[in-house]
This record gives sequence, C-alpha cells and structure tokens, in this order.
Amino acid sequence: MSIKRIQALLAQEYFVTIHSLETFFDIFVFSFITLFLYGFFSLYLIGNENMRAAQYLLLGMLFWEIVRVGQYSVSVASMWNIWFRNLTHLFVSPVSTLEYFTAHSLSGVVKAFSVFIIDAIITLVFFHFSVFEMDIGFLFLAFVNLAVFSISTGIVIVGLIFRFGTRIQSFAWGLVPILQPLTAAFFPVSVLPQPLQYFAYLFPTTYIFEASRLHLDTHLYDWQALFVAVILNILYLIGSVLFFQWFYTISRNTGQFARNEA
Amino acid sequence: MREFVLQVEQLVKDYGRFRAVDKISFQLERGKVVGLLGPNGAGKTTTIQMLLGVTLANGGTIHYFGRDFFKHRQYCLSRLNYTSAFNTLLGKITVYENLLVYAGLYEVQNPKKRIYEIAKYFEVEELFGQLYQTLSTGQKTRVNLIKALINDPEILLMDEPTASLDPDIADKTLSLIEHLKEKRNISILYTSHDMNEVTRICDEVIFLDHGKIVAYDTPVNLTKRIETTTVLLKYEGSSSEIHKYFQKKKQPFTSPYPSSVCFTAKEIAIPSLLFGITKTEIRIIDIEIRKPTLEDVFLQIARGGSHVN
Repeated sequence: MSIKRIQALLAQEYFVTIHSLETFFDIFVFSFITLFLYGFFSLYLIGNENMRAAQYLLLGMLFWEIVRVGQYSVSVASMWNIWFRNLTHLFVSPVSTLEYFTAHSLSGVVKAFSVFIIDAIITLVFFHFSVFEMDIGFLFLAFVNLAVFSISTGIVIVGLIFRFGTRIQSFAWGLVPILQPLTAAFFPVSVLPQPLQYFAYLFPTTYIFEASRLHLDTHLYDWQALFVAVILNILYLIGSVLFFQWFYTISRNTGQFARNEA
Repeated sequence: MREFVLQVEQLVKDYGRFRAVDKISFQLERGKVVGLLGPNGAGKTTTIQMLLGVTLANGGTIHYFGRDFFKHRQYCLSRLNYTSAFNTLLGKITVYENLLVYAGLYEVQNPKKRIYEIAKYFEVEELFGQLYQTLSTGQKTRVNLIKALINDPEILLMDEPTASLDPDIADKTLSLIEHLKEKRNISILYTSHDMNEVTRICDEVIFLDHGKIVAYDTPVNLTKRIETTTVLLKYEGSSSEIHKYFQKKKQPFTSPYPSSVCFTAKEIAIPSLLFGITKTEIRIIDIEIRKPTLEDVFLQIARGGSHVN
C-alpha cells in the first residue's frame, strides 16, 4: 500500500470538491436544508410538548447524515471518473483497489465529519439541541460505526455500478435513503411492524440509533447493541470488499468495465 | 541482443460464444513501435484492454519485462502508461491538478519539476490553470500525452491517439512519437486506422481480423506481399491503338481520363509492357506508378482477403 498514491487520490477528491458546485450542494447545502426542515418540525413538536420526539428527530437527522455523506462520497467519487472517462486511466495506473477505497473512505469520513460538526452547531444555535451533551466517547463510537457502514454501502454500490454500468448510476445517491426508515433512524424500532423489525436488526445502524436514543435519555451505554453493531460492521465491511472484488472481476470478464466509459 | 519488453502468448478473449481475440502471440522489442491494425471489431481495443488489465483474458499469458502481468500488476503498470482518444482526464479539475494526481499515482519524484519539464515540450504551460473540460480536442490530446509520459514509461500503449485530431495536431503527435522512440528508446504499441501514420512510425505491423493475427511484418514487407502495382499512363496518339495493344497483351486496363490508361500488373511485368508501348505509334507523356500501400493490405484484409500471401 502506497501512501503517495492514497494522497494523490485524496488530492483528486479535494480538487473535485472545491471545483464542483454539484458536490458542494449535494453534501453541504442539501444537508443544511434537510436539517432546517427537521429542525422546524422539531420546534413544532416541542411546542406540542413532544420534546423527546423532537430530540430523536434531530439526533436521527445528525447521525443519518454521516451515513448519507460517507456513502455518497465513496460512490460518487467513482461516478465523476466514469462520467469524465477517467476511470480507465486510474485503474491502469499502479493504484490497487485497496488504495483506491482507502483514499475514498478517508475522504468520505472527512466530509461526513465536517457535515456532522456543522450540522451539530446549526442544531445547537437554531434549534437548541446540543448533541455534545452526549458523551464524547459515545459520539465517537456512533460516528465510527455509522461511517464504517457508509463506506461498506458505498463500496457495494461502486461494485454494482462497475458490474451493471451507468444505467444504475442513481444508486450512487438514491439507494441508501431506502434504508433510512428500515434502520429506524428517527423512531424506536418498536414502531416498525414485526416483520420489518427482524429486517431492521440486520443493519448495524439500527443498533446505533437505538443505543443513541437510550444514551440521549439516560446517558447509559447499551454495550450489547454497540457490540452487535461493531460485529455487523466488520462483517459488512469484509462482505462489501469481497462483493466488490467479485463484481469487479465479472465486470472485467464481461468487458463491462471498459464499456462503462464508452 | 534483442530485448523484448512485452511478450504475449496465445491470448484469448471470449464474450460468451463470440471469440473476440483468438490465440494471438506477438512481442514488443525495446525501442520499437508496433502497430496493431485491423477493421472495426477485429479485436484491437480488446487486446489493448487485456494488456492493461481492464479486461480479463480467458487464456494465454502477458509478460512485461519478463514478469507475468497478472502476478506483478503494480510492478508492470508502474513502468508503462497508456493514452487513448477515447479516455480523457477529469474535466472538473484543472490541467495541473490532473497531472499532479497522476504524478502521485505513479509516485513520481519531484512531480512539479517533471510536469513542467514535459509541459514545456508540449507548450501547454499556459493551460495549467484551465479546467480540463474547457480545452480543445488538440489541447486535450497534448495534456493526455503529458499524463502518459509522466512516469517516464518504458512502454506506451496508444489506442488511436490521433483520432479526431486535425492534421496539424496529428502530425505534431506523430513527431513526438518519433522523438520518443529516438531519444528515450520507448517501446510503443499503437493502434490506428490511419495507414499513412502507421507506415510513418511503426517498425512492425500486426494485422488483426476476426480476432486473429493475419499478418505480422514490417510495413515494407507487408506491402511487398501485394505483388501487383498500378500504373497510370498519359499518352498522345490514337486511343484505339493503345487499347489494341493492351488487348493483344491480355492486360486488363481502364481509361479513367481521356488519353490515359490505368492498369494493374505484377511489378516484374511492367517494364516490358511499357517498353512494348514505345514500339508503337503511341507517345507516353506521363507515367504515374502507384506502389501498393499498407492501406491496400488493410483493404484486402478488411474485405475478406485475409490471405495476404
């Protein structure tokens, strides 16, 4: 693994981000708009003496943005290279897929962290909810787990796009929101119908959101939920890498990888 | 002693039941330019893609610098580079930023110096601050070539690098390739549809048709395989007399213009045919001999005559 090549890919990500109004809007502006929407809704709930529901909503929103931004960053980085027919140049350089995803994961984590901090300050200033009242240790655990999940889903989506081409490119920004209700980001899992609850517990994020709500209410750590989340995240990450390698190989076998830029 | 930097053995690519590349074998010698030619669908681009690892072969071996490409991918890729008219750089970022990224990917020492050094040759320093997507096609080609040379490669794979370029820029590109070959001893595998440029820069030519190598030789030797030469004569005198002469010699001919005949014959037969005309009342005023070109070889293959001797 070469640090220089990872730095080069991070530099590319940085250059794209500063030059691309689309990326700025998708990552930051879209996040702020959604935050304000949820923020005003939470003010309405507080007004109706639903303080707890309002806080769940804002907490869910802050944490969900970590998943959305991280996944978006990992997936859309590849899309830029496909759209500009630069992907072949990248993949015929000595860069390995491990270096490629390490760089894009780091970039995704940095973007997700930046958005989280800015969003958290906005919620504090405008909606009087401080996520920093939660333990820093808990926030760290939650962030790492959510970020790892976002990276795993990002890698899976890149694998799908490499395999099936740009006809499914909307997965890069449109697939993860499907998981939002399923992972009970804004409400307790118990709200979901029983069959969906079983499904929800397949995702590590569900455990994080549940543990977060408990921590917000009681400042307690649900170690069991956090442990399950970590284990699931490890499995998801390994699975995503294997899934990507499998689809990347199929893509090169069928010639789809080269055709993606045709 | 000849040193081969690339050795391809029995390379095969199947797409389902369709065989795109059929057991091709060839070598690329250090400092030589080998042209990969063939009609559309012949397997040129698939071959290049396999040589780069973006498409996987179903059989055969690829060795760069004596090492198996699949086992030593990073080592091999760090010593070669690629450019194509069909792949561009990232349009959203500037020319310099693109080049800086690739300098990092190829772990170039002192990247700034290297980038400016090559850019000076291509006269593109003034484009450094421009977004890549705003460049003209010619400018993009020059920037792509800088990217292709950024790691000082020993092998360059060029997939139709002059496609869609105007003749002036195409000529500059070819001059650069000649310069690289002469000064840097780079080995180049070059695909193109333009027979003139292939004749100009290639030491050897591989003709592919339906995935198979149907001819593999120097451009001169390939053209020699077509034994006939076309002659256009302009004359003064009676047209019926010259027509009678050719009919008597059983030599097919056409009259493309007034007072002219055009015939194709084996090279060895041409002097006697011309000498025979001088014995008649006909006065030859102009002779244009059109020797077979690589294009003729290409056309013969493309039209199904894979039997170019």
